[in-house]
Amino acid sequence: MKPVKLVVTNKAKLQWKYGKHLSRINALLKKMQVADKKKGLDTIVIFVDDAASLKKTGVKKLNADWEKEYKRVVDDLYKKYIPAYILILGAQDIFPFQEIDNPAQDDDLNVPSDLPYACDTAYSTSITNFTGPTRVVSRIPDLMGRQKDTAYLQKLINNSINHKPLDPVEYHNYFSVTAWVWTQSTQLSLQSMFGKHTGLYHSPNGKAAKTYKPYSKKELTPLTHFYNCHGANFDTTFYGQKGEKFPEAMESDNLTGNITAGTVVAAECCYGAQLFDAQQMSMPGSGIALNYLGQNAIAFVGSSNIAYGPPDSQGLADLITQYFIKNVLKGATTGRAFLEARQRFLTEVGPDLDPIELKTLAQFMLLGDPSVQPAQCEEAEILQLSVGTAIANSRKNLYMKGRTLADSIGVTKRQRKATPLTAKMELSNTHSMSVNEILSKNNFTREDKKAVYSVHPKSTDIIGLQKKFGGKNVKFHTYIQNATKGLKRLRILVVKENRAQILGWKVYESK
Amino acid sequence: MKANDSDKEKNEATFSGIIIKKKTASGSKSEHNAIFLQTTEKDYQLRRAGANAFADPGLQKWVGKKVIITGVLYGALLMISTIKKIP
Repeated sequence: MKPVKLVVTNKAKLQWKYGKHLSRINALLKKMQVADKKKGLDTIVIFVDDAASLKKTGVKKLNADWEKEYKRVVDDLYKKYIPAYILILGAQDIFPFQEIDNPAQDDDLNVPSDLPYACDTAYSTSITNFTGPTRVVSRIPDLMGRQKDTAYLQKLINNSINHKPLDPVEYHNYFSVTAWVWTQSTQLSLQSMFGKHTGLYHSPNGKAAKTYKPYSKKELTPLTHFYNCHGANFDTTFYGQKGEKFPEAMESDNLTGNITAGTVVAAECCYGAQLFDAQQMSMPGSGIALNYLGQNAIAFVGSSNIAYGPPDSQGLADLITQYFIKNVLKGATTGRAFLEARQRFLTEVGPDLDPIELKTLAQFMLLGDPSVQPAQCEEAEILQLSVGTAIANSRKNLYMKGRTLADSIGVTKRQRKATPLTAKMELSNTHSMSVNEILSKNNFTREDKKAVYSVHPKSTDIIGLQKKFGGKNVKFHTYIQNATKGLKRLRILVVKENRAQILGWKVYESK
Repeated sequence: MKANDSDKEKNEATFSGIIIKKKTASGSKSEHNAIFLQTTEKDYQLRRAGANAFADPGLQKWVGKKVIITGVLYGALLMISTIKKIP
C-alpha cells in the first residue's frame, strides 16, 4: 500500500475566493496527484464541506463552519487513512487555524495554531491537550481575501511538484540576519545547525545607514535562510535592535525576484509566519512568509504571534527553528522535519513545560507542502527502493513517540493565587541560594511577581521512583519586570520549584 | 478581487482619545515602546501603513496630544487613515 498524502480544503470558500477560476484549482490538485503518484504517494483530495467529496470515506462533512468541526473532520479522515502527510490547502480564510487559549500572560488573546491538527486528542482550546503531536501536518497558504486569479497558489503547488531533492551541501549555505542584541544567541543557533557562524548579518550592522539597504540577489542566494529578529503584528518587515534603535532588518519587497527556488526559511521573529492581507491594509507587497513562498521558497517555519527566546543562550524559538533546519539538512521531508522538531522540543524542555514553552509549541507552524524533501539523504537509494516501507516505519516511530510525549508531559495550569515562593536552591551541602538572591542576580524584585503555574502529571498512579522525582509538585513562578522602571528591554523570569526546592530558573529576555 | 478603497472606507471608524507611549509584548521578541490611542474604553495600538512598526517618528510627535483618528481596526491594532488634533 502506498503512503497517503491527504489534502484537505474547503470548496465553498475556494469558490468564494476564486469564483470561476475554481476549476483551475481542481486541475492543479489533479496535477499534484499525478506528480505524487510518480513519487510513490497516493494523494487524496478532500473538500471537508462537500458531501460528495467525502462520500467514499464515510466521514460526515462539516456541519457548521467552526474550528471544532474542522478538527473533527481532520481527525476522522486521519483515522480512515492514517496518512503519512496532511496538507491543509489555503490560508485561514479557507481552512481555519485552531485558536488555542494563550498560556502566557502577554498581549495575545489566543494562539492561532495548526498544532491540534497534528494531534490525536479531540478538539480543545487548551494547549495542555496538544503536547503529543503524532501527525505530519503543514499548510500551503494562499493570498488572503478574494482573488482575481489563481497565480499565487498555482506557483506554490507547481514549486512543490517540481522540486527535486538537492545535495545537502547546498542547504549548508545559509543567509542569516540577527538583531544586534541577539548576536550571541544566533551564533549559537548557527553553530548548532551548520558548525559555524560566519557571514551572519547584524541589524544594525554598525554602519550609519539611516534607510534600509536591500540585500543583493547574490547575498540572498543561499538555500537556507534563518532570522532572529523582531517582528510586528500585520507587518511586512523584520527589525533589528541595538539600544533604542529598531532599524529595518528585512523588508518583504527585498525578496522579490531574489530568492533561489527551493529555499527553506526559519524565522524566530514575532508574527514571522502571520498570514494577512497587506494590500487591504494599504501596505506594499505582502507579508514576509507569503512573499518568500511566492518567490519560490519551498518551506517556511515561523510563529503566528508574539514569540520568545533568551538573548544570549538557547531556548524556545531558537530550539524549534533550529531542530527543523537540522532535520532538513539530514534529508527529511519538511513535514517530517517539523514534526520531529516539535517532538524534540517537547523532549528537551519536558516533562514540565512552563507557560512560555507551551506557547512556543503552539505558535510555530510549517508553511509549504509537507511531502517535499529539500535535501537528499544519505540513504536516498535505499529509500527509493522501498519508499512506502520507509515512510510507514518512520510514521509509526513518530506516532509512538508522540503518544509517549502526550502521556509524559504534565498539565500546566495557572493557579488562581500567586502563592509566595519561599524555597531555596541547594548549591552544595553547605550552600544554598535564596529566592531574593536569584531575583537580585537577575535584576528582579518580588514586586515583579506575576503568576504561579502548577504542573500535574497526566497519570494519577505515580509510584516509587517517579514519586521521588517529584512529578506531582512542580511549580513555575513567573516574574515580569515592572514596566515603570524605565527599562527598554523587559524580561520574564521563570523559577522552577519542585517539592519545596528551587530547581533552577530561566530568563526569557525581550527580543 | 482585492479589497478596494470603497471597502476600506466602509470598514473605517473614528476614535478619539489621547496618544500615549507604553510598553507592549513585554518579555517577548517584539517587546518595545509602542504608540497607543488611549480611549475611555480601551487602548488601541497605532500604526501608519508602511512606517516602522517599532519606531515611527511620524507618530512619536503626537504623543501627549488629544486627537481624533479615523482608521481601520485589525484586532487591537488601529491602522491610521487620518489624524487630527483636538484643540
